[in-house]
Amino acid sequence: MDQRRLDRMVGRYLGELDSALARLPRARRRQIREEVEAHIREARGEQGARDEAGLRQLLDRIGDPGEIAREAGADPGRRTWYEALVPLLLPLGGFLLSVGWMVGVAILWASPVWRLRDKLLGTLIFPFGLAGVLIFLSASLAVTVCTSYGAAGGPTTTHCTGGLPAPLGLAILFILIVAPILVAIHLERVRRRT
Amino acid sequence: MIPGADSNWESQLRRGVVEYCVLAALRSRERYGFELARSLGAPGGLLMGEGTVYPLLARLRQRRWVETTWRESGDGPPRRYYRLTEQGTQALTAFERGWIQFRTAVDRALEEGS
Repeated sequence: MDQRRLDRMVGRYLGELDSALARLPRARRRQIREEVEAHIREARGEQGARDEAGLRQLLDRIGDPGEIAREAGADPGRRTWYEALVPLLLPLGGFLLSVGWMVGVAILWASPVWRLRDKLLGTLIFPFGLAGVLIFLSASLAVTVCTSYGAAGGPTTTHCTGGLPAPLGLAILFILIVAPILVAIHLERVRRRT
Repeated sequence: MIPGADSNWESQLRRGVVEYCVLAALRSRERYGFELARSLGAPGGLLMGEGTVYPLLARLRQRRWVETTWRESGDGPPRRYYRLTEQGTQALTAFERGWIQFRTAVDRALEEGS
């Protein structure tokens, strides 16, 4: 139980290290990460960092991931300006003739800053961003099917079905709008870590 | 005043010499990463955290100043050991000669000024 908490702390530290090292060539990045992982294993085995304070101290001694990255020549302060556009282009670029969204996706996939799961998240959660959401919603809400029946010559009844029931529709609307914004915030946070 | 400018010379100097201190730590025998990190990473030492030794080692290895071997550790997974190469030894010797001259020159300059 407690052990799992400590493992999560180590996982978080290694995740930060991965982001900080993102701009290095793959082989170099892997070697440094492997060594830091082995270091943590050795240090935990040696002094038995069994509580959170002990582990925190151990990680402090290893140092800030940004400092390790700087020593490796991957300056964490050096970001490319167009990567900053991604968290804006993905949710909003769809309004720019949808080309904006495609540019955002292209930068997202070309950049080493984001990992595969971020890239998938950014691409699949909301194709064409909020513009896509609006198109989808207007399509699904507008379609109404009306059928008329009744005896020929007699009075006819018209029955219409369609649209989404109001509470469900609102819930879906909320999720569809909130999800892209949350994903954009997540991508921005990952970018700032690098 | 430029922020951090007061300690700039220090970090420049440290950056320039720390690689050779890693080489020097390997002079007598081969060591594994954790061992090196502990001995060089003590507070007040030359490293900005124990973990910064690993990018240094990676660079030295790329320059073929050190080479690595995996060895069984007995009580855990195998360890990667670092050893000085012939080129590494030469680089270290050249640095030592240069460093002594440099140190002497700086000392002399400081004394003359006082």
